[in-house]
Amino acid sequence: MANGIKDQVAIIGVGCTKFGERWDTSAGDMLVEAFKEAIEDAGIEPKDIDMAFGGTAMPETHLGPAGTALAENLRLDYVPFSRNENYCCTGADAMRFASYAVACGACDVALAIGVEKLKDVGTPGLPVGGVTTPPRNTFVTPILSGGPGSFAVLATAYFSKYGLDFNTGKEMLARISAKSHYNGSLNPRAHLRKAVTVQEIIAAPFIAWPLGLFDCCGVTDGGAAAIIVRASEARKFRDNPIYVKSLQICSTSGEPEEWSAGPWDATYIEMNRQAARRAYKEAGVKNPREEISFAEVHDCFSITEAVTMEDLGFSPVGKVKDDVFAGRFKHDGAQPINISGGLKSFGHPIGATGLRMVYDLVTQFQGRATLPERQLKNVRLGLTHNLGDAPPRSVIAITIMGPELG
Amino acid sequence: MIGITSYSAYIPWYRLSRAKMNEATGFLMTFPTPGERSVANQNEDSVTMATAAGIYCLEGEDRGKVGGLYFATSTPSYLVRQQASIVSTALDLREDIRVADFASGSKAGTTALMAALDAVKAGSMKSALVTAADCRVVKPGNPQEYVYGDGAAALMVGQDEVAAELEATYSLSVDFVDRWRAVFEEFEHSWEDRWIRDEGYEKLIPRAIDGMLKQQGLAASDIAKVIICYPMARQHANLAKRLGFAPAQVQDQLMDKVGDTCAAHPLLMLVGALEEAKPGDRILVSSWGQGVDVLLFKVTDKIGRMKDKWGVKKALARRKELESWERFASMRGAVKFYLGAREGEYGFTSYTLAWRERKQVSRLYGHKCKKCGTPQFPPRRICVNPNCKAIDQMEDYRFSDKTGKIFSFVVDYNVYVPVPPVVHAYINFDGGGRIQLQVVDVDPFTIQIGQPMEMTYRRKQVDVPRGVSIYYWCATPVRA
Repeated sequence: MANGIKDQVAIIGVGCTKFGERWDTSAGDMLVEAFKEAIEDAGIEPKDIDMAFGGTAMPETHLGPAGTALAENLRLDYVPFSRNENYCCTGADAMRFASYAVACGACDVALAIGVEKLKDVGTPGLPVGGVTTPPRNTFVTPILSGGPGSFAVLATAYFSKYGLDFNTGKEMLARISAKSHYNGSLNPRAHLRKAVTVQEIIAAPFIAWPLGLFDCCGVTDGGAAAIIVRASEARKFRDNPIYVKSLQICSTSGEPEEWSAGPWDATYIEMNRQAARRAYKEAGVKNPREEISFAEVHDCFSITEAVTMEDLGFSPVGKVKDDVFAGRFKHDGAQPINISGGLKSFGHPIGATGLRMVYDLVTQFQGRATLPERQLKNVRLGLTHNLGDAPPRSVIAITIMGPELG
Repeated sequence: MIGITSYSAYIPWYRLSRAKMNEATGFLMTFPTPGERSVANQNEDSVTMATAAGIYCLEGEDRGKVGGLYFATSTPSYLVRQQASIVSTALDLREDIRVADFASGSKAGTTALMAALDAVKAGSMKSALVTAADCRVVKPGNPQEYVYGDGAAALMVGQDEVAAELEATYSLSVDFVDRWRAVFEEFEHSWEDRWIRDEGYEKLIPRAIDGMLKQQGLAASDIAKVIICYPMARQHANLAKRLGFAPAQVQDQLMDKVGDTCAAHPLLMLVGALEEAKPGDRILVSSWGQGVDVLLFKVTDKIGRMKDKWGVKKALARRKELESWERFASMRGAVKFYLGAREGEYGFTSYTLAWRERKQVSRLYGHKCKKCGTPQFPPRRICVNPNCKAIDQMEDYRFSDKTGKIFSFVVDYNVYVPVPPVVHAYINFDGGGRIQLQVVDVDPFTIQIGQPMEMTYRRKQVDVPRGVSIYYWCATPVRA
């Protein structure tokens, strides 16, 4: 009988680069930027690391395949170093592999690191041939603008099912983006640091109707890292380690996409719900709306955050609008979401994002949130959520962590 | 008895008023012409329009019995690669049939029809489907831009249930060069219109029609409908009159509604004539190209069986006026607009894969599970039904002839196509199965969840570096 990961491993150090269009910085140098902060935070030397997992989702535009280029830039000579990729769950998966390696005793100190250099290709949007290329042939795959087109179907269906007229639906989405932009404006490491009004968001041009420009996250360079040790060892490194409560991923079977007889109606993401159910069980969470103090979720598009609130049990199904309008998810609300600015405003360098979220949770728990206005108080459990590819064919990663054992 | 057993017309959804064309390009040479022309959508070409006409023509027919497929066009999408094979595959015809392309000129449609009738007559095949389509592109400002239209027609020929019996054929084949395009050229040339009129239409058409009438010992008065392809309205009427045909005997040339669809045009007009025909009517079809083909049909009492076919009238009624000439020019590639920094980025196109998965890609086949009966797409070995998951219990299941309803959709502006936006939807098929498909020929902001859709074959993308027209299936509102 599996015990799960709860309280078996702890995070003793985190690092995160400045996110943005890092025209003057290579992927290798961003790796070092995140790595240096993480080991300094953990109070360890590079030689203390005895296993490493590095996530890159689109390595064809920067570091290439395998873990070799990552190890080389970090000068982690002869350390077991694996590169991993799992769409936008890539960074979370590096964290998962490092945690499992530590938990099973294969190593004592593991590095989880992720980086993405997306802005070397000379065109806006994600590079072609990377994560947006679906696993099918070009004859059958639709011509879509990758993300926006794929996620907009959720909004169309959601508005229709829950009777949101177009203006109300757009305002709900705009409030989500406005909240994230505001949070990003307070965060020195965020990519987009301008607060934007709900009216500006609604008036922006359509990208993939009903989604407009500000419903979409940007394309960002960045890296993030975490150092993992066994929970029993963690206090030897620092007196405020953060304990991992759950690590779950969930992949699609294609069922909702191909099986019209199923219950899926494009107003939710079944993989979200399945991953959340397993994560809450592993972490011992009974009532996520009350027990999860705050979360960093995958707001690649505003509608993704909206349906994810329901899928994670933060809002009742069909009622996220009420919570959004009531300000529940704002930085000073009952359950702050994406206090970092989220993918929307902090940025989304794919391989780094999962670990960037870990960085945000850990620094919030440890009271190190740079500015007092963005420091959360009395936070007990935090959750990170990533969604890879697009609904309905998605992969989801959920991590739960907290500062206390038990 | 050998003759026509089914017919259909395909006229693309878009129409462009010639006044709008004149507004845009009239500064070069004003060419005020009444009416409108048809415009193929950005994802259409001769192959897809021929396929559409083929689909309509085969409605209610047994496609397993079609013994041949001929495709005629003067605007092929490939110089090397037979396009009749693309059409016959999309139509899900058998593989053990004869198919052929007829190309190079606007006479190709009637020549293909004659060849098919001959093949049936010779006993080489019991029935054949003839498709003709054209989509000619000229330099912006060329008066031919006003004259041409895009469209297709399909005719099934055979021995059973013949609605119009072939009585005779007559051909005139000469190297009269009115318009031409060399293989290395993007746009065609025209010789002087006055010369084409006086030495061409005015002399060659009468020679051919007189030749047929003499050969058959018939007079103009014996013909119920004559089809003359002479895309100059006044001269067309005068020539018919001179040949002894009263206005009521002359089939509408569709110049003010469609334009000259070249290889498809005589067949399109024939479909128009058959829609109105009574048993006993003689229809004389003539074409135009490097000479003239003439075919003489006699309508039988089986013509009543054709009344529900998708003919010219129905095709004309399904229309959308294009907002501007500029959209037309971008759609047809006559003007190279900037489509964004990522224009020309393609995924990898693999013919190995396309061949291996041809049932899925070209014929839109998924699977139906023999154990639980669930239709599913794409075809995979393990059943998608979570309560079934049977392995290797699949039978082929064709989606291309099924209708469905929109499940959810998006109007995507962030795509690198000549005229954005692109509409995409999940379609729930009637009878089961769900596929994500592009929706074409639809006003994006009138789409509703639950709206009924049917399948249409389109040129989804062009992989320019590898020279591949990537054909695939799209959804379009069910024809009323």
